[in-house]
Amino acid sequence: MWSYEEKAALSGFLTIAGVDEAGRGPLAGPVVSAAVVLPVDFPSEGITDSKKLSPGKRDRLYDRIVKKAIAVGVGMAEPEEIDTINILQASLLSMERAVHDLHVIPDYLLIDGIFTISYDAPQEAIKKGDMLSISIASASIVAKVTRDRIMKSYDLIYPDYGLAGHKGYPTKNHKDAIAAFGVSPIHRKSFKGVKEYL
Amino acid sequence: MLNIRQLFGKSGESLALSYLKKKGYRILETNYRNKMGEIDIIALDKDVIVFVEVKTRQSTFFSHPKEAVTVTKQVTMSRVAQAWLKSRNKNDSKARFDVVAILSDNNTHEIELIKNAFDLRSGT
Repeated sequence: MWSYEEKAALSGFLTIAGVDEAGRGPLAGPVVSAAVVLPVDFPSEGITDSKKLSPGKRDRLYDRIVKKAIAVGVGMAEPEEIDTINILQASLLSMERAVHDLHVIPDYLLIDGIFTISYDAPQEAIKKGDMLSISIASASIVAKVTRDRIMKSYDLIYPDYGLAGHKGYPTKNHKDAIAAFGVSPIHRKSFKGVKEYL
Repeated sequence: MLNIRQLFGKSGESLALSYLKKKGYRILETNYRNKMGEIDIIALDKDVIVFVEVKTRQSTFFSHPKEAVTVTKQVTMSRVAQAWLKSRNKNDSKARFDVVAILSDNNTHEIELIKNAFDLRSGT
């Protein structure tokens, strides 16, 4: 999964960052993005897009990435921002924030999906990038694990919704909980599945 | 060298704000900064002004988050808090320092509020 990184390196780019987001679909919580810059000797065994990994495997790979990456950045957009600017814009904003959060300045970005972001560097949007690029796959793991931990922490504050299990995604038990208890301050009020219960 | 703590640090503030609001605190200000330093959250708990430090950790390997407010930080917060009280003309108000400690790793998730975590400190 190094072909995109190798091609960028051959073009002369030195600091290549993979960017991916997690949490576009949930009814609650922030959307979280990560940007990851990997060294060329990064041990990539087992790294694939986060959705294909078991939670335990994901945690172990997260530990490996944060330990061995050159740089990792995280950015997020809160539910209020999602409600104001819509989830797509919020998602892109969280990606920009993740890139700005890196302590190195990337000269090339590999971004999962079909949109590039507002950042002053050459960049490439790769559809299904989290399955094709090791840097994007690593970013998807960091974004997902970070977001999952945030939602498990929110579960301590808003315990009625089962957030620790579904992480805010629209499962049946989440929807039942909203119907029973109403919405919390971290629900996305503009979303279908939430706005009916305001 | 990656600072693992930082990755969770940003969301820690949002979590801390949600937690304090749920506890009935009224949030006055976040990230108050002056040339002496910074206070994460300034809030009102009934009639007491509370200066809150948010500590986040992704593992207990080095220390539990509630142990992390160093003396230096306490002195800084004390100075910044006094400056804030003076600037808002609230020198006579009751005030205290709280810590919100957030621990989040593979297995554990905890949020703890430590009220009156330390006393006002004047440094040398």
